[in-house]
Amino acid sequence: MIDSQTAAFIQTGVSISVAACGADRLPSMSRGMGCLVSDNGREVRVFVKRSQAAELIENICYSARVACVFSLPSTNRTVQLKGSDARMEVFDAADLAVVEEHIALFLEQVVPLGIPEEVVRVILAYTADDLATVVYTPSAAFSQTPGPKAGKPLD
Amino acid sequence: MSVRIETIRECLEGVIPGQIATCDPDGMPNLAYLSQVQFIDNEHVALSYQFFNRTRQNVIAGSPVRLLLTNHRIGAQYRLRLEYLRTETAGSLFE
Repeated sequence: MIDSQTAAFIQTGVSISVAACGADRLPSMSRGMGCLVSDNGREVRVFVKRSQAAELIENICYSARVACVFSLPSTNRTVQLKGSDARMEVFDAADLAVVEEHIALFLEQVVPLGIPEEVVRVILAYTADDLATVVYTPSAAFSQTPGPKAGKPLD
Repeated sequence: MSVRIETIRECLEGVIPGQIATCDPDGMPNLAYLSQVQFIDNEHVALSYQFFNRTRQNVIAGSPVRLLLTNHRIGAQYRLRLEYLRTETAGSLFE
């Protein structure tokens, strides 16, 4: 379970990445297309593009272990949430608004940093029928904001 | 697919930060951002570590490594599979 502050943070314009490992320990990773915290902070739902996450999805189905990193470009504040009960769910069209809001908030973050909007839109381009949802309970949370506390469990 | 690293050299600059994924001995993944990836030649890169304790632990323990790199001009993304060779703490490459 994550606190309300962390829950709010990971649902803003953060960069999102998801990783899982296969039987050979080879990690796979993919960008997240938005995040939704539900069940009062007990459940994190991250959206991924199936076309870019086939190996990741296979690994999640194999191991159920997952790590997600959420990083706010304007501040470099970064949080990693890990879990051991991850599963894949069919994308719920009701969550399209979350994806669209994520893209808008992420653009607000990175365009002022000099990344052209059209490049960001290429990176985050999607079709609804290509989306899938990673669902898990965060069982460990770490700060990864650059600095001496990087890697420490969240307070 | 094998890639000549020089063809994606722009992605190493860190304009859009790269990411490194590793795996601990229990199968738990770890992700970290990279500010820069150093080009050595078409088959080798160097990564400096300062705060990547878990990443480093996993690599030393034999984890395969994956990088996700993004081209900041066209948005193309590349996943690289790396194998750890050695750590250098002195010399021209280190400096």
